[in-house]
Amino acid sequence: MIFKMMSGSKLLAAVVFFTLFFFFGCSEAPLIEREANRIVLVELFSTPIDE
Amino acid sequence: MDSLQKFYGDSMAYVVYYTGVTHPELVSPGGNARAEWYGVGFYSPVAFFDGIARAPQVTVPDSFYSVYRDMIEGARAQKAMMEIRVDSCRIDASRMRVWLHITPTDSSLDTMSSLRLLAVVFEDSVPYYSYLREDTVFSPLTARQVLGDSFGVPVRLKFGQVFDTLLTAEVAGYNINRTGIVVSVQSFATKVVYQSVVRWRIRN
Repeated sequence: MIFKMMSGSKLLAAVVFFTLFFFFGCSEAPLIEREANRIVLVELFSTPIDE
Repeated sequence: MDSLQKFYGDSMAYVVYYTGVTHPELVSPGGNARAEWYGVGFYSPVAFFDGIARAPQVTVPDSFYSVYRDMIEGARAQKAMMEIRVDSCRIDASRMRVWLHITPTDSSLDTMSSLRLLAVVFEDSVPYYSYLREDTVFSPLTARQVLGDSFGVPVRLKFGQVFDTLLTAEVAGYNINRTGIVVSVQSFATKVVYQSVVRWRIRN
């Protein structure tokens, strides 16, 4: 019924869409190295003001 | 340091280890051990930026800002090879719990075997009486304990595999409204800190 309502080009577009959706949706995301935001650790060694 | 903390916000994790003998209530065994590990000696104050960059001695107080800012910028220019995120945290009168999520973003981590997860619990605005000023003084972001031992807990990270863990600590006697935590991944061999995260207050 659905296919009868679609023209040929729309049907082709739907097939391509679902093929790509299935391909990318079911495969694991590729491992791509990236750089994270650097958070700097500052360690201060100090004495109380009385010293 | 307050100005730097405001300027960098969560891009700077900051903790103070007190040494000395006049106020033992500010001193932590973990802080003393780290001072010895870094070779701090009797110089004070001394700051380390991501473990290896030691700030030069500053004699003029007003020059702290520019010197420390240059050091922070130098550290920020280094490549960050992972993300550390605090997923959630809880604290009550006796215990705190912090759920961590680490995402390695660089395969160089795969071969590093001396990484440690360093977690420092701190308390902000700790009051103590100054004999010099004859008044109560508040010390900022004061290290209370280093979890595991003073050099952190061994951890292996691998690119493509997330690392989730739960950190717990006893906090009896702390002001839990002013308790926070700094977590870093540091090399035990080189002292390089590769990434950090800070939660200024566990209780929001």
